Amino acid sequence: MSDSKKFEGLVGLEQALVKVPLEQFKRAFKVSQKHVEKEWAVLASSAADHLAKIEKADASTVRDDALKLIDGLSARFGALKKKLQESKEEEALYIKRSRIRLQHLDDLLNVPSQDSPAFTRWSKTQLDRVLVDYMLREGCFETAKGMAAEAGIQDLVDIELFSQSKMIEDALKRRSCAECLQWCKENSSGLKKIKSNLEFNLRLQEYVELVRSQNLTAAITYLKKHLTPCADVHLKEVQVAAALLAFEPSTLCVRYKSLFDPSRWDQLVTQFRANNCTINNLTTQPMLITSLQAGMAALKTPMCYQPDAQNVHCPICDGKVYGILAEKLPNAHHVNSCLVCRITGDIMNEDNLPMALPNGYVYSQKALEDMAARNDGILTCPRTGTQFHVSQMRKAFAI
Amino acid sequence: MELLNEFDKSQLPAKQTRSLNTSIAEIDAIMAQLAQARDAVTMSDKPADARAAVKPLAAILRRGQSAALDSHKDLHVGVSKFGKSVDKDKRFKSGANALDECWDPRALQSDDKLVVLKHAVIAHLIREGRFELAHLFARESQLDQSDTALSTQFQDMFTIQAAIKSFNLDPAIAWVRTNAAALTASASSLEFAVIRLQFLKLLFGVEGVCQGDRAAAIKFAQVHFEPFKERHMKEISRLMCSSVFSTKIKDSPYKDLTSITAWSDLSHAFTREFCLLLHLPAESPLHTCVSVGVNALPTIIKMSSIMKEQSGLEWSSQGELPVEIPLLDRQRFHSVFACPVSKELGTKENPPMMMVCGHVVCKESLLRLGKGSMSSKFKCPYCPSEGKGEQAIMVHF
Ligand SMILES: [Zn+2]
Ligand SMILES: [Zn+2]
Ligand SMILES: [Zn+2]
Repeated sequence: MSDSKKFEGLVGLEQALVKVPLEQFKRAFKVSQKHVEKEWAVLASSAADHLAKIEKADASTVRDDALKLIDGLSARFGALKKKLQESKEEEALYIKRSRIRLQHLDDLLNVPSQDSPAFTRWSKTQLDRVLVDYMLREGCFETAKGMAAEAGIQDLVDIELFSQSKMIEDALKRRSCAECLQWCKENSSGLKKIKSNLEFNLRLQEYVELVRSQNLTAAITYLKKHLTPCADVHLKEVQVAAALLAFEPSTLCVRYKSLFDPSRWDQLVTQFRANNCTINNLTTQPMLITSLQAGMAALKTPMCYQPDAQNVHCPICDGKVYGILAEKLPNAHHVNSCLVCRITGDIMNEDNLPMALPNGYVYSQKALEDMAARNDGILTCPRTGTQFHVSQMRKAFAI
Repeated sequence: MELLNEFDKSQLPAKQTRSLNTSIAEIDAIMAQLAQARDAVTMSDKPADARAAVKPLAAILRRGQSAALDSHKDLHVGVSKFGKSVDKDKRFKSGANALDECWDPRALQSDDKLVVLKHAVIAHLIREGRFELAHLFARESQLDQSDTALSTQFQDMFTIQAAIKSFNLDPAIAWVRTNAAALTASASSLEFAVIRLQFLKLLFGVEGVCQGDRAAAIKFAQVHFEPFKERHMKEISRLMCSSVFSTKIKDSPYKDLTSITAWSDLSHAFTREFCLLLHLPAESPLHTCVSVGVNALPTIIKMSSIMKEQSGLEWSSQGELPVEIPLLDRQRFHSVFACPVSKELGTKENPPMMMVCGHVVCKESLLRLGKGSMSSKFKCPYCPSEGKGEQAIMVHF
């Protein structure tokens, strides 16, 4: 495969890099749009009502009413301006970020070859991104932020997105649905697109908690307000929810007991996480896990687990780390011969022929000639310790 | 990249700025009008003046809104258009799903493996000299700091590397002296490389750092080249000859000796040998695995879409990936021998055998060539020479 085709393949793995800031921009824009369109209109029309009143008001109160109206409007337009500036600042950030990310991908396509220092640099940055993503998903925010800052890749990772996600997850762990419900509202179109029932599940949970605390009046009100309107889609669940009023949290009836199960909160966390990833085009698995598995399988050979065949430079041969991680992965598949010199690690080929010692051990010509030059023509087989004269080595035709 | 061009053509940053500036300017204008109206109300105590001052507000409050909305619409159109280009990009067709589904994550999912992975990340950070981050990550992920030994070792290495970067070889010389025995045992020539560069530094100086001093260089050579005289005779005589040219070196056959890349070469060699003495790979294994992995993923995604009904765990039960993942030379760590006759891979049971002519085939093929006997003579399939199976020797790559 040519390098440029390979780079196109690598770009194909980075769709989230381009799509995440675009989605974030769209959400910020929706907020700006709401300020400019709805809130502005609300201000103007409420002012119109007041103006009509002032028109007819008693002469003694006109001045006070007018001042009150003007001061109120100034304050509210001031607040609108501030909110607009905030959402606009977010928009600008995500637009800037989109450009930087596209540039980062463009840099890859302009790399001359996989052997160039430019590619090594790109690939190190990619690893940094992958690691920051992993740390964010593991909840290690300080490390993630520190690493992003140190590597100068703040615009290539999604710290804000995962921080928000963490805040909502923590709220759910504290058994509060409010934050997640607010998030559902902000992301309603995305959630609709993937047919998520997260909002319904959150509502159901709030209702269950009311029943659990035996606050039945509030529960009935809540049921009517938030659950029965969903009966067209979630009829069965709504029926079960309504019937729940007749049960106590200690019930043994399986159908209702499961609704009271506290593990439902963990399920909400999991569902929120998954939905958040999906609507942002993020993978649910961290890229570190996916790429590591693929890489380890592509490197793994049966020799990695044979002490006499191990190579210190091979990751999988490290039996304490990657050897364990790769345990359940398949081996690489190879069809053609490829000989690696056990002394230098170089590939043996026409320019550096495989040479066999009389004991059948094969090393590269360069390695053996170098050894001979340093030792008056004496060769010591590093694997057996046997000594030979350089004249005893001969070409092995194995490639 | 086309998407980058699309983005630049879309002028989104300019449109965004315009929508911000327009909206803020219109709101500011309204607020200025409100302030004016307030002044008018306060300056007169006639109710009629107050009425007259607020009356135009109804129109004024709406005045800027349409301009602000227009600027937003313009931005919206631009973003939608760019968004469509992103959606249409064929490279992004497979999406996040493909990445999640191409591999069965269960192979890495046990708790003990996830802890091993965290230690691998820490070791990687230490190798890169990011000690603070390694420490922070261990703390945040509630691991005990069992990696302090590695940390100390690499701190030494980075101190030496930093010195090399500023053309100071003293810490490097001290380190090769301390580890001389181990280095010699592994046939390393690092010690000589360090001494050699120190000699060149003394002889020619380093631009902007120090002047060359031939007498000092020769004195240094007399003391320090002694142990290397046998192994590196040729290079030592070349170095000594170059000292004759120390002032006109740029026009001499020795001008390569003053190349500044010698310092970064030494730095690389140093990292390699340092890691080797610790029995660690020269390259970060995490980097090796992840970069091989991302290169492999497009192929694996394509393959998994073909064999949809099989997950990664099922491939592993077959023991082997169904396709070959091309590796760069520096990512090949084990020899693979495919018998040229049977195309089978060499194994312990069916090892590669070298015939008298030097051609290598697997043991089974050898037996087949001899029609089932190791003592019957046959012609090598690759050259005119003849031999018997029993004359062949097993080879180890
Ligand atoms: Zn290995
Ligand atoms: Zn064969
Ligand atoms: Zn032959």
